[in-house]
Amino acid sequence: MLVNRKRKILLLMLSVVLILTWLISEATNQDWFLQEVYTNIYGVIALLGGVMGLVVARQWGGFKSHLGKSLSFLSVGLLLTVLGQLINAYYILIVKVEELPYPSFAEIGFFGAVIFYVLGAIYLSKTIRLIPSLKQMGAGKKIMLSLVPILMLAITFVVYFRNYDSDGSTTAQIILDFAYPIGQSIFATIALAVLFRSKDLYGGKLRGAVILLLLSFVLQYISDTNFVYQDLAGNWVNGGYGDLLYLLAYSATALGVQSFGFPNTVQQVTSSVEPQKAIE
Amino acid sequence: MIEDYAKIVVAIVKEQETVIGPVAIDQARLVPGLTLDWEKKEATLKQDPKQTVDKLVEQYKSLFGQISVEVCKEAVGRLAGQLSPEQLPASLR
Repeated sequence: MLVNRKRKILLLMLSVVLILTWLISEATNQDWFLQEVYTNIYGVIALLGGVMGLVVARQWGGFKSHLGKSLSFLSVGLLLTVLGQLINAYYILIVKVEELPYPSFAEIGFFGAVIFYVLGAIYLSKTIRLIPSLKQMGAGKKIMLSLVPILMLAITFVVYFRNYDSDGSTTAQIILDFAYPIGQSIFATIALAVLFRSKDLYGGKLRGAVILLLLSFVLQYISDTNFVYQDLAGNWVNGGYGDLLYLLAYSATALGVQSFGFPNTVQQVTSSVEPQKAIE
Repeated sequence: MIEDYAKIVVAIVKEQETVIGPVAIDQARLVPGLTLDWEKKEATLKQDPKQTVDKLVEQYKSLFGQISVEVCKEAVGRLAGQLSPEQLPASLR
């Protein structure tokens, strides 16, 4: 099994290669490559991130601890995204549809991922004791923090439903049209609320990992919001900058989860005789 | 008196275990002067017990900073009330 540092380097290098590939293809107008190949390969980051993330989650007790649960849910979220992408690839490459069906079986992956990201965010907030800290917060901070979800929902609904027309939509479509942005707003709101706690992480070796995860939540929210914005405006293209945003979001989530990994195995950590050097 | 500190240690490790899983026990075992028999949920303190508790809190602090200290304080809760302010480890005040 690869040790954590090597897993992180692998994910980072793969992300950089995929970002550079996108930039070069875009600069040289390789539209065929971006639309036919790139769209179907960058999900490999989510696949690797999800599998490696489950290994890291296990080091923290898996579903037996708050942090283990958070990392497990986020890793499964990444894997569900891959499932959604694979189902869409099946529609495009095997069934050869001209327009992707919506809703389709791909929603099991994509909407499932939103639910799992929300659960991951909730358990991350439990790990850093967000609720107890809210009780001790001053009135000013409480007011500011309560404005965050209102602002997030306002932005989301302006982007999503500015030109919303449910005529001809099925009940399942309407439910999903509302459920996606609400779910995404929830995990983005928790991420921003957790950011209020980040100063209390000073001195902790895992501060950087928490902040990277928060960044990944925000990137995921931006990617999804941009997707809907471009889709409604009719200018979404496969392999476009929207896919680059998704790649950045997957990379940040995968690297964020991986940043909680130990430099070596748990056994080696336990065998250390020097306090303070267990996790670096 | 030393039993009170042992109870404090067990309470802290238990609470940390709900947050960070088995790493809580691994971290506690890195503290000099502290021995854990976690199957029996027992702790043995060999050196200055007050200082050992401080070292344990410091060990957790190295992971999540002040947030880890808050988890420790919350875990101790009622047990802390049984000690005088002088007996209470500085990290839990």
